[in-house]
Amino acid sequence: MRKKRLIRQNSLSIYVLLFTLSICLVTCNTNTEWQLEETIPLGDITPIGIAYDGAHFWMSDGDHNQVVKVNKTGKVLETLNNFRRPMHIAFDQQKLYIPEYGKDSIAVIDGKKTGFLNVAFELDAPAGIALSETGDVAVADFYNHRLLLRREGTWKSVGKKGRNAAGEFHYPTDVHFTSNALYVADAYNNRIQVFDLEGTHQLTFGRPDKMNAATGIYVWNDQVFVTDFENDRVLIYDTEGTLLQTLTEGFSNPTDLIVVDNQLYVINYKGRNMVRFGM
Amino acid sequence: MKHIIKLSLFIVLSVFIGIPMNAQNKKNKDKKDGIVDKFTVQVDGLGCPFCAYGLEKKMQEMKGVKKFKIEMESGLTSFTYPAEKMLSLAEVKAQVDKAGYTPMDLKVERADGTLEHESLETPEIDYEANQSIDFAVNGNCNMCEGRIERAALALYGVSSAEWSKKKKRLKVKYLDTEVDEKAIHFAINQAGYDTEKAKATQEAYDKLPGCCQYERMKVDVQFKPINNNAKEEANTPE
Repeated sequence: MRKKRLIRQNSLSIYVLLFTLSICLVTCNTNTEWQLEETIPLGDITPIGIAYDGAHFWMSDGDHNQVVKVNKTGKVLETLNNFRRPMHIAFDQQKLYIPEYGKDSIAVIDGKKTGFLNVAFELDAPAGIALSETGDVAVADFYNHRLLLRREGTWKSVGKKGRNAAGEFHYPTDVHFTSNALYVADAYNNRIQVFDLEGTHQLTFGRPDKMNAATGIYVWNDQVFVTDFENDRVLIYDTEGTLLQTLTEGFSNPTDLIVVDNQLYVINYKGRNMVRFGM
Repeated sequence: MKHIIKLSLFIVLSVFIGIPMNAQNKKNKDKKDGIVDKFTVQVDGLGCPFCAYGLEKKMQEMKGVKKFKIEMESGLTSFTYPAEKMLSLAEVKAQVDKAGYTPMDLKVERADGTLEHESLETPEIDYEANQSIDFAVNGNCNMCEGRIERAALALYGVSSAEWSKKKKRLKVKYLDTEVDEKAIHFAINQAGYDTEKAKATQEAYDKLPGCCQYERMKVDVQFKPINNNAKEEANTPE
């Protein structure tokens, strides 16, 4: 009798264990893989860069020389005009930073006021900007093949034109700060380069994955997201450069991306839309 | 009689005043920019905004360029330029080349109404292909596509050329009595692109705009020209 009870109890434990395991397996799968959930049309907007102000998205519309505020359904709430080819924008401390590729300057929108970021170097087609938690600034200086870094109030130039060596760039297009590193989309070298906050090169990755113009970059939760413009892909790496996932669905010349509320939003230049991925 | 004289005088005056006025009206007069020439340039491969905005930027470096417009879909660009500077189509072509594009068609409507036109010529196809080849050609984008296909189509004997950006392969149909396979590879090399059989020179590769500088293929052979005739050029691999 006792033996039977023991067997029954053990069987129950095995069932519970198996059930928990299967639940865990399903959960683990969905936690590590991003899945396409929604395509959000953007009308005539040809998006290049995306930022988030805590409530809404801001997008640069390169072809139409404007920057638009858009909600999560793609509805345009506000339009700012008269920029010359606005590129990868950033939002920080209630200010919107807009690199103007055609004007060699960075506009700063602070409420109703418009000013310009004082950069100590001459820009040639600024393509992307990022701001760190401590107020440092990085600019991807496209035609000068370099990175401009403002560290504790002082500007310096990082890197030079080149195709292979660490710190060499071939048309960098986007930048992203984490608390201890600066990530650069080295677009036409088809790779990612990582620097410390002083601008010293730390790591290069992505080249074996045969990207064709790594145009946009975003880092979230130890995952590095990169848009592969010509190949219509988004590649996801860990911060050591190991490829975790390749997204191929829903893209038409993707240019930039952002993670908001655990959702990955990717904007498509040619597709004129935004696609949302969840886990 | 008085009426007739008045009317005749009016007509005569109208004619004398009207002719220069008409001539003046014919001129491309812009209130803000004065008398201008109107240029239109057709380029292809404007798929990438970074390149397209780059073309715009480089064209606007020519002092005097005003009202620059670029249609991303069609690749049609237009701008005005002060007429007294007599900007030539050759100068415009050079500036477009510098920006990394190949102008397919250039037109200018001068302020006095005269038209100038230059078009990229490809040989007339008065033959039928009897051969077809398909080989790997490395490239990156739509601009590469235009350059690779044009290089092949410029050869007399080639009837069609289609490059796939995804597969990185070129399909060519040609007449083997007019052109051979080596000549086709050589023409692609001259445009700056490596094929599976022959490598472009470093000089030709370096001339490509940055975004078109693809990852080079591991090919050791480089074809050499024998003379200026493209048909006979690609005979001796190094």
